Amino acid sequence: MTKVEYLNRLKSFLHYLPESEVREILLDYEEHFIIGKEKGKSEDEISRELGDPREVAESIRSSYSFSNKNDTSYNTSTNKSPNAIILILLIVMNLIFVFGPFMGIVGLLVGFFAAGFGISIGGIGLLLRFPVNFILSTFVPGIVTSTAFGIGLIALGILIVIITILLSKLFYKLCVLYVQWNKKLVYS
Amino acid sequence: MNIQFKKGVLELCVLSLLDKRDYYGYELVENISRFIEISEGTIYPLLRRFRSDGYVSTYLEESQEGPPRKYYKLLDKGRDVLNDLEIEWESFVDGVNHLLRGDLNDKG
Repeated sequence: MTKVEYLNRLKSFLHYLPESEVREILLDYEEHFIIGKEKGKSEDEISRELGDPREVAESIRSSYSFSNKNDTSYNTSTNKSPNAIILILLIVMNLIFVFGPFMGIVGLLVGFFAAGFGISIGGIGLLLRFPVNFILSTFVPGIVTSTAFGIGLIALGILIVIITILLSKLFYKLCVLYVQWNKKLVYS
Repeated sequence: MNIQFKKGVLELCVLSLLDKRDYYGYELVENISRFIEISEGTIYPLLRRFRSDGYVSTYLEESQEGPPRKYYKLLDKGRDVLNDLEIEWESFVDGVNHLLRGDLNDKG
């Protein structure tokens, strides 16, 4: 068998694997052929030593069922199908009980962001001594006051933004966990 | 020889070679098949599994002749497995030798 024949035959037994995976596997054998030829062996000889492509494919398959026990993506016959009743129940429950609070929290986080930015921008304005409008009378604060309050407000704004980012991350993680838990329920 | 058994032994041999230095695939195959009769093609799936299980890592290195070689390097996890397998192997060989020699009195 030539190198091309051997690789094609091996490939034909690996159709159940993702294409990128197959390419990587074949690359290993191609390297083996190339080095073997450098050492003066014929393609036929190398093919014989590698062994029947079917047998090699079999050992590839068994190595997958070995190492990917928890990974369902390689299972050719997945016997796990989504549980329809739980799925519908979850959708209804999520729509009623989870969707509202979820949107509320998202709104709150967006609000916090806006507040943080707003306060910072206000601080910048104060720092640059823009005139301040207190309801009716416009006045320009003194340099010390505006500098102190300006820096204070900028810091406060940045602090709020940072805290909001942390809260958002936490919220995101919780959401991911919740979605995973839902998936588990549906597929159990 | 029993295929399952041979597989386990092959694992031990590959890990043991990698414990001494890094090898690329062809070298591993070459060295092992000098001593044991194997279908050489079955080493690569083993190496892939070792990598996905975190026993070894791989890196590419240019060679003077031909394409870059994919080298395999033993990691701590692989070294632990090697130690376990070695102990298992030695007690196995020891047991078989006892049986072959026919001295059944040594072990209770």
